[in-house]
Amino acid sequence: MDTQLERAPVGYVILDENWKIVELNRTMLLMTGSEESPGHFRELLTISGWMYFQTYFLPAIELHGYVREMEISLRGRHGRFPALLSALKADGRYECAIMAMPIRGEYESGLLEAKREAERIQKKTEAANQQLMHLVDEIERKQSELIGLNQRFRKLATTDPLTGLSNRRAFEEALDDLLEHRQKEGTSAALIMVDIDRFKKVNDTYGHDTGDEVLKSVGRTLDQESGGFLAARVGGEEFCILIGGAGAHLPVAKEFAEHMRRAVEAADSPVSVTVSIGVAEALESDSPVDLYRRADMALYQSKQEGRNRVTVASE
Amino acid sequence: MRKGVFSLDVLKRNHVNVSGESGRTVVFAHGLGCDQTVWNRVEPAFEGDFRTVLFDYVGAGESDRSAYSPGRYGSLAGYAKDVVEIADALELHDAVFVGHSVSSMIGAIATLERPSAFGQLVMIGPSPRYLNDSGYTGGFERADVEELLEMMEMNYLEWAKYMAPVSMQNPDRPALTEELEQRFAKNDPSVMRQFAEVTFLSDCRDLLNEIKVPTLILQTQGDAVVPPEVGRFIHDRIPGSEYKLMDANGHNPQISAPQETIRAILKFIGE
Repeated sequence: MDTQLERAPVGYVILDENWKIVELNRTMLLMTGSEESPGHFRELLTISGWMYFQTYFLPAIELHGYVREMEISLRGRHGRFPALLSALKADGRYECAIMAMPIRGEYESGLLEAKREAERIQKKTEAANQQLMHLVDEIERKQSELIGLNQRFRKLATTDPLTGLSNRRAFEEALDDLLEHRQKEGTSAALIMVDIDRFKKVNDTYGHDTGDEVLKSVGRTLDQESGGFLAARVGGEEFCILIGGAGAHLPVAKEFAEHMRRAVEAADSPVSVTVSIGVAEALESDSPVDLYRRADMALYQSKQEGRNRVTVASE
Repeated sequence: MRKGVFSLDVLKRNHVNVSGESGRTVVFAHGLGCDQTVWNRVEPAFEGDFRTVLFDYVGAGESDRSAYSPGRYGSLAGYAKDVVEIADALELHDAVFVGHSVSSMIGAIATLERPSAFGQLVMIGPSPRYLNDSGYTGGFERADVEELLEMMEMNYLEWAKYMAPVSMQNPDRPALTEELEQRFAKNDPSVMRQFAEVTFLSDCRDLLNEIKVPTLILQTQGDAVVPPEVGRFIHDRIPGSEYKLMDANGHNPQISAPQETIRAILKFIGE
């Protein structure tokens, strides 16, 4: 080996095909800190360096005849250090140029560490984001649960559990609204009050269960025949239907009430029952109580006059 | 029928190459850090009398990298699934599985999954566990593996370049090679890192005495990846296995000593 190659600022090693060292320059010896040639290339490498060399170097150089810039761990007098290995295969031998890069290696290790740190942070961020998304999902789920519950409670609060019609509270609210609307817009409003005839006798004769069935049956009939107007059970056997608009004019409302009376009479109920009805159209000055009272009086009159009939409240 | 869109998908996904029309099927499985081209000097010798199968694991070579998922390939069992799916797609029966390095254990898992598909197993440079353990010499400490992983990461781009012209097999068309280099360079280095991690941290020791198929263990001289005693360890535990210490040197006898490798395999499978 000529002097210049011996002291070239790069390690130079020739290996045979079994990686025995055929020749190496002085720089390479200085790099590893040994006095004489180690004999086998394995001696120059760390355990993992040797493993890496066998796993990746050989397939690469056999396919291309060369390897460039392979970073590999070398064993030195003061411990391991990274080096850059370029090699080519010629005449059954491997010629290797090896450049130690402790400074650059440290720099690269730093970069790698920074990269890993960045990956860790990214993972953490992703995890945090995911957790946040979970929480948002949770909140949305709870919210829709709440909305559902509210709807359920609202329905419970405004529904008569036996007949499924609106209850008295819902009826009173609707009556207030209807009359308020009438005040503002001048739309007509009427109240039809329905009471089952001799209901006490039904209860006494057939028992409360049958009585309940009768209430349900009447409720169903009124609901079906009320044509979309609000039908409510406002007392034991007492029902109300609220009518707004043209249908509230007395001749029409009376005809409507008559229709419902006939429907109850004809309905397929466990015990045939009839209803007495009072109809009142709201006057300019009527408060909810006034209207209610006038319908009630008309109903009373129907009862007085023999039941199963419709009476219209006088003005 | 198994043959359908599904099997075509698998064959494409793992870049499966089948050669030879008749005879028993021999499947060659590559190890860590390379692809099916690692068998270039061995596989042609089998084409006359056998039907040969070459493939790339998902994440390697020309496999469909979009099929990679860290979950599935977080253990050797995921890679064995590739083998089983290929065996199903090709309707393999009584085939010979030749696995290099980590593929030895992957193959062992696959034979347990699909006993009917594989009739013989050849392990080249196998290791059931790379890390030392009490009473067991795997050859490496955890720190060695960390250092290796770091080297792999540092060399990732260079490795990508190595893989590119290999797959292309068109070194005289540098433009295409460059394009492939780009493609590989874009590939997530974490795939390679995970394969290495899964490999070097795997422990298949308990699996060995479950292996039912006749098995040949080939070990080389001076294998940097597998200490000599590991070959014996495996041989002692796989019932009825054959063990052969080759003259070949290093971890890749299929590259460095193809003739000896071919002879050993042929002798074992009885030709």
